[in-house]
Amino acid sequence: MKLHHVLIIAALVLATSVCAFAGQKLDMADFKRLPIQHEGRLKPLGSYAQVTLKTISGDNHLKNISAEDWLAVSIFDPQAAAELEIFTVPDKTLREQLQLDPAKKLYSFAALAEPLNRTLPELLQLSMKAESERTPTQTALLTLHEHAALYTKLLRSFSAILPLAIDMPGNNDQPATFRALEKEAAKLDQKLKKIIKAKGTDPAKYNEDELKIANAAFSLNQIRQGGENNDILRVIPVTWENEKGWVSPWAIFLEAKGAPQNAKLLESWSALANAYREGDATKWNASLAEISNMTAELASYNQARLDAEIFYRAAHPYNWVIALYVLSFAAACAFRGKNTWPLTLGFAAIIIHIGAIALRIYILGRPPVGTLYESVLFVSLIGAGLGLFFSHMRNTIVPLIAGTFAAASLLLIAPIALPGGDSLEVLVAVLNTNFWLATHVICITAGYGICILCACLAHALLAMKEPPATLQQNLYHISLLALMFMVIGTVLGGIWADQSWGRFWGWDPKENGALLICLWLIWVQHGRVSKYMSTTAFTAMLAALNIIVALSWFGVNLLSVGLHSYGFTSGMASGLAIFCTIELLLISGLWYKGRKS
Amino acid sequence: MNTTLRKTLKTLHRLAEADMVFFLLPLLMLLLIAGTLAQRWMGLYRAHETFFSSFVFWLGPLPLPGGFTLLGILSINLTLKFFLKSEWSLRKAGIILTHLGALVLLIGGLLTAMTARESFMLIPEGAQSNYMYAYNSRSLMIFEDGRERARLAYGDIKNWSKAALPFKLEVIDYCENCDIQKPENPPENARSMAQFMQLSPLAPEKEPEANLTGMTLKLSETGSAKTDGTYIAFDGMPKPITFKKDKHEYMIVFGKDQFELPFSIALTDFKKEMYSGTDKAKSYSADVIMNDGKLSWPARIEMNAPLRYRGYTFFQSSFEEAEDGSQATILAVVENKGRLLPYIGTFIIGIGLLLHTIVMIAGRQRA
Repeated sequence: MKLHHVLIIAALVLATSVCAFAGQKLDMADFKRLPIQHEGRLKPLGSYAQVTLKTISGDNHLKNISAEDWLAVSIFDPQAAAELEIFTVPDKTLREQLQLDPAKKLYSFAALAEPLNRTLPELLQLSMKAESERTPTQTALLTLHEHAALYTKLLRSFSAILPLAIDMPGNNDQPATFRALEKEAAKLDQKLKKIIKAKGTDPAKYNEDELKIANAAFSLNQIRQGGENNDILRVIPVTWENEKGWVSPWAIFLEAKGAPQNAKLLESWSALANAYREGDATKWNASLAEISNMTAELASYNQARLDAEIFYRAAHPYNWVIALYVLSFAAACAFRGKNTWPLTLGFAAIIIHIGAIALRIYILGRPPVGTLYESVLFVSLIGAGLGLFFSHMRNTIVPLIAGTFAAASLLLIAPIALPGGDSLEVLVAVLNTNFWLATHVICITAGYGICILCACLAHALLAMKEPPATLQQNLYHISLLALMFMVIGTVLGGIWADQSWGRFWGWDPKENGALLICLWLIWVQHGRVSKYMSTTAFTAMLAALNIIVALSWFGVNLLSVGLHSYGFTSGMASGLAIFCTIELLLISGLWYKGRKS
Repeated sequence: MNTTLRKTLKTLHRLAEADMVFFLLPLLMLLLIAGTLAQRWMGLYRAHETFFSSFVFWLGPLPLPGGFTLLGILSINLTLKFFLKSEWSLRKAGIILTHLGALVLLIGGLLTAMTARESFMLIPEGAQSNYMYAYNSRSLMIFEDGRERARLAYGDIKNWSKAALPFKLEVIDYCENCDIQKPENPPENARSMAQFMQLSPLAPEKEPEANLTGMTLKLSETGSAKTDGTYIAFDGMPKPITFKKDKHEYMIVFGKDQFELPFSIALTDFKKEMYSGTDKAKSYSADVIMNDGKLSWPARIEMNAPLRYRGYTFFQSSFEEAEDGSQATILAVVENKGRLLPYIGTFIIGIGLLLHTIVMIAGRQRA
């Protein structure tokens, strides 16, 4: 939390000094498609709106307004946007502390401005306190302030080109923009200095004209300050000799970045803002087309990729995939291989699942697994795909039951691995290598997937009274396949570590986790070969593979030590503990039952 | 004689059995879990020393075999299995190769544990260096007329007074992690920095790298009563201890061990690329000039692409940035004679697994 954010909020109680107007419904489809540089990559405005709104409101979908409508009103009509109820304050104690209306779930910026302003002294102390020493309420307060600061910036991102509600000295009928008034500002400042010299700083002593001057000078300064460092809405491509990238309207304006073409593009944005405020659909569409063409001329980017992202977010493919896996699972349990419905449904789910992952590869331009969330998507695909494959090849429905069950449960918990923000992320330097992402990471995550399928199948076999020999054989083969992928993946990881950190093996938690799975599988195989394990024991130990994989996959992130800890997610510890306990009880129970019979 | 031989053979055969692995692995997994969890509290380095680079570790009152012991027995088991128990048939060829590969990996680990040395170099932009520094090992270095006369390792501090030196050195006190304080009443014979500073022990840091190690020394027979007295030495000491005796200039410094490279590296440019508009790093790279004797040539060291030369491997590990914008790269330097073995082992395991899969599939199709 930076100090200047705090000061910005303090100034915001003054509202945004921009005219209000009556909104009207415009076509947002093309607005959504415009490019914006955000969090290290180019994305469509629609995506940006969704991600930002989710950060502030804690939810993707607000009841009465779409993300892109919200973004448009926020940047083009800040006065109205300040009244929108979009802020979530999940901490009950904080709601009480800020004296917020307990009946509401979401609060408007206007409603929060004053209470937040009151907590400024506390905030300064908090930001100096170590993270671990803050209470949850204090953390919530900091978060709320951060969100408010973010939204302040957003509300002011176009304030340079919007008509102002400042009552200017002299008689201007038309509300002018900051851009037009900027030259006046210096004069006003001079005048104000004279007034202060003559009459002091107490406004009560000023006459009407002087008050007007003071007000106008102060407001213009406020607006300029709000524009400084306002770099969040990077929609203008700069193609200067040394500078390449995307900047915000204020950067063009204040730092005089970019060429005349950039200034022209800003004009079009200004026209778009006016069209929005006037509710003029014809002008709106014309301006959008102009912006889109000019942006495309200035920067080379792939609009198809942006459109793919809009489609990906709108289609919610994983909802379909989960539904189809559940249906396939249910059909498999009900029909037991009497017809091909379970296989067909499972196949459909896998096709959509592959399509969704392929779309992510296309959008991000990198191999599919780079974050914890992505590993869940991929592991579930491998589990279900391999289950379907074995069911089809060996003519038995059980692997499909195991695979679809594993995949559906994994996809349902996937959002846990996504603590807010965007699911489409760029990667930190050490992970930013397509070769190792495509080999080691794919191999290890495929290994996880096979392990989980193996463990689920083992559960099913333990639950059966007399498991058929072919299924036992299948289980054995899948366990060998899992071992193969885990060993190759782990060793490839060692080679990557040797290439990037200079050591093949360093006993880092993540390395140890992968090794633990390998050792467990090797141990089970040797137990079988040396005949120390009965078939039931072998099956039970493979069922316990779920626990080993969970610990290695998610558990080591909780340790948050070592070079590998890039996927930390809070609140996972208790979930993991519950899962392991339930699994232990379940497996022991099934094993005991199996031995008795 | 014959019975001894038979007994030995029997023991060897027993040690070659597959069930050895079955009994060893639970211990190894226990070690792995304990060593991983311990890192949360002990730090990576100490956990490594306690669990993995040790023969015995203690789980409460219970002594358990450490990494060296377990991996040692496992290596013996694998070696013996290879010679005594291998079924030399095509059907088992894949399995034999896989086990051989695992053995090569273990031998590589042993060789690395014995020979690998990790250090780092810090080179500012526009500068050149041929020195590397150890991460953890520290020494007291004594120079005579600018040349290294003796190097006393910190680990051996109890025997420092026995070292053959042209003057007398006694260790009064030392602390692995020290706090530097202003002395209330410094000893009368305090010399140099000891007049203004004294060391008091602190709890060691999680990673020994971050400790400030130091000691209080008593020097005598330094050629003059003015220079005889109590001194302090510590990591990164701003002023070396100096005195003159018998026309020789002596200089004593304490710090992380330094090693000289047989060649030098000059940094021409360090680049740090961020994702536009974020503080997330996209890539780091260092453009260097390698100077070896009369030869010099440009090279680039970047994330995931190290530079290898004359048995040394240089990795882009970190960087420093001064307020004026000048940058310095920190390169990790690794010397490791066992470096190639993991690659060979991996290759053998890969071939073994592939062969086994092919043989199994072919066998099933025949059946």
